[in-house]
Amino acid sequence: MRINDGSRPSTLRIARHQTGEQSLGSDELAKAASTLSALEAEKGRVPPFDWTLLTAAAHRVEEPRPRPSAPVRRWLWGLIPAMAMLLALVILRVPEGPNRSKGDVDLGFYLLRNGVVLPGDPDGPVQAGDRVQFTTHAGSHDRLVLLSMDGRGQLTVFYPETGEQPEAVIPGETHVLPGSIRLDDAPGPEIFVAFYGVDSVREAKERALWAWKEEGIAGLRELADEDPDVAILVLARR
Amino acid sequence: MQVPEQEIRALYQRYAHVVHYRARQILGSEEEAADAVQETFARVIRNYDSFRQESSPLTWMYRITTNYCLNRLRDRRGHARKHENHREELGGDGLTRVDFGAELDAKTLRQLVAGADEETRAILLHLYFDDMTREEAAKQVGISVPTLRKRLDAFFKVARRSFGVELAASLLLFWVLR
Repeated sequence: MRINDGSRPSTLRIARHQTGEQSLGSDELAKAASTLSALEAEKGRVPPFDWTLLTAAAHRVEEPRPRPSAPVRRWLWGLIPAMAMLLALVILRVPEGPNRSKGDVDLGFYLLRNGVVLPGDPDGPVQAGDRVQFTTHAGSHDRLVLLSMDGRGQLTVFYPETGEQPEAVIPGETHVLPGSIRLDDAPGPEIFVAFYGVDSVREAKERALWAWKEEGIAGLRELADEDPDVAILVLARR
Repeated sequence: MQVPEQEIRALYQRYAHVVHYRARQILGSEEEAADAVQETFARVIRNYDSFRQESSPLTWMYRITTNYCLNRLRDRRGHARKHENHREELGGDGLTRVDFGAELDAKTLRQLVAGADEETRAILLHLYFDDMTREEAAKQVGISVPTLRKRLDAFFKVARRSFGVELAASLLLFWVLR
């Protein structure tokens, strides 16, 4: 498939011609012949008209939410200072959990347990057999290395799957990383560390191993505390 | 309001096959194309008053079908990621590890489209499935042609690394920017 450089009519224009909405010139018609015959043939594939089915579907169509009227908006403006104060209080009171989210980078997860997908709770215990799928926010970075350390100090690189080049991610967007991992029954917590913006897998591994060798989990936490481009997730097993 | 069945029937006979054709091309599924037709005409019925004012009913239906198909592609990808993909499968034909051939086929395109952000998804769809020019696609999405180029450039830059096949992605980039 090659991008249309204007030398042929688009499918929309051909379809508008075929449905009588507009006409194509004779030179354009010659180029549209195959699409026109494909559209003609499509008539045999369309489900038959079913008024009952369509009206039932029409009732299910969601209406866009009505916009608040002007008086309500004015009323909301009055609430803004109170909401700001409430937000400030909440921010001050939220305890720091094992899900590290600081600066622009973040590491979160979904949990698949017994066929049900649950939003990941970094404070909730996980169990062997659970599947974990990560969400990341890379801030301004466009690459990531995500690895894990289990309770025995065994390091496994999950992203990238192979090779030395970090996994490419889109800066500024939150993503669900492809694939999931099944948690095994290794003793102790499962620790996941995301290194954003590193140049190689080796660099991430060396930094993680060094921190682990120094102080174990505490060393990894310290690494994440000190480096705004590192995020850590510590999942305790049930 | 009371929507006249005969008018909807006439619209269906005139346009349903176009919606079906387009949705089938984009989604690659007969069943989902039929759903797209139903969804599009359900919205025609629901918005019949404003729909009647449209100078081009087909263009209006195109927009509805575009949103429907993009949502299905996104859901498909999300579903695959959350429920089906296993680590062991990622090296194979998983959604995120595409082995491009020399040709950019419809299957690969669907994977590319599903992996893009909302605006880029619409751009890719208009360029490749609707065979629009860059100018037409930019107009449909409501952006300028230079912005369209930038969006594609950024997308293919990431895709090139994500998909890991330099040659094919470079070829794509060449096609887009030429």
